Amino acid sequence: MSRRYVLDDLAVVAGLGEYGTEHHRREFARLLVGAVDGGLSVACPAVCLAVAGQVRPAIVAHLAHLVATCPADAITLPGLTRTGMLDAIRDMYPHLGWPGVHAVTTALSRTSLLVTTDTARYDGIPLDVIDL
Amino acid sequence: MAPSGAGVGGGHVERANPGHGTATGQALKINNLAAWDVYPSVGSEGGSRSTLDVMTTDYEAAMAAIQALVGPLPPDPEADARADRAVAVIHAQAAALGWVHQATGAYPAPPSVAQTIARTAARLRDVGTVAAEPDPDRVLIGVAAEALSAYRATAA
Repeated sequence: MSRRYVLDDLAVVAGLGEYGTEHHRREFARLLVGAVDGGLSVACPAVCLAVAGQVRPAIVAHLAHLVATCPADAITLPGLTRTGMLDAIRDMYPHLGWPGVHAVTTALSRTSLLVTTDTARYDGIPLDVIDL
Repeated sequence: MAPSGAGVGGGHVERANPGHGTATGQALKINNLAAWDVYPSVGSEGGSRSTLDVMTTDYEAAMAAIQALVGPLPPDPEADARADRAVAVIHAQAAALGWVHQATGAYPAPPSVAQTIARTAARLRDVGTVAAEPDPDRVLIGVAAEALSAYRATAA
């Protein structure tokens, strides 16, 4: 399975209209367009989406609509699954909270790049993190 | 990242759409942002279409969904240039980290290497660096190679 960008809840909220900075929104749009155009795919873990949905409920339908209209696997909303990795991440990094745990486990499952607006949140965790 | 998506999120999209466009290659135009915060319906596409029409309409729908997500953004060439550069650097950072993984056979990149790449990436995001360093991929791969070499020298 190929690498991909994994957007955590902070990145998703930053990319939303009226909640993010204009610059973050422009970046967010370009990452999604890149995925639709055949670049690195983008994953938004379901728990991160749920948190973003509390900020702006319409995002859930918009993202679902995007998933349903873009090329297969270009943009995905991975679910949370009980795995050994999930147990380990919960045990080792209890400060993360569920959105962070799901973002990390999703990124690690495909040795992917976690995109966030707060890289310090993942300090000390062995994964590749990119600042949005 | 290619600048093809430069207009998305800016309230207006006009692009050649080479991968998903119509047989005539006509430009795609999306202008409707009036109801950007309205829920899309599940079966909103409707109607019968040819396969080519379905591809075209799906791509347009995907672009419209992205615009709906980010909301209307005013046309601003300078802001677009900053965002283009920032995302090009993000892709270059991803490529550099991917190169490190291939070189080491391990994930993630060693912390010192990742930090060096991230510092350089942060500097490259400044559009003022575009003229002197127009290719962030090349810059960051070079930085990654040097940082990995230094890491190995230290670890040896």
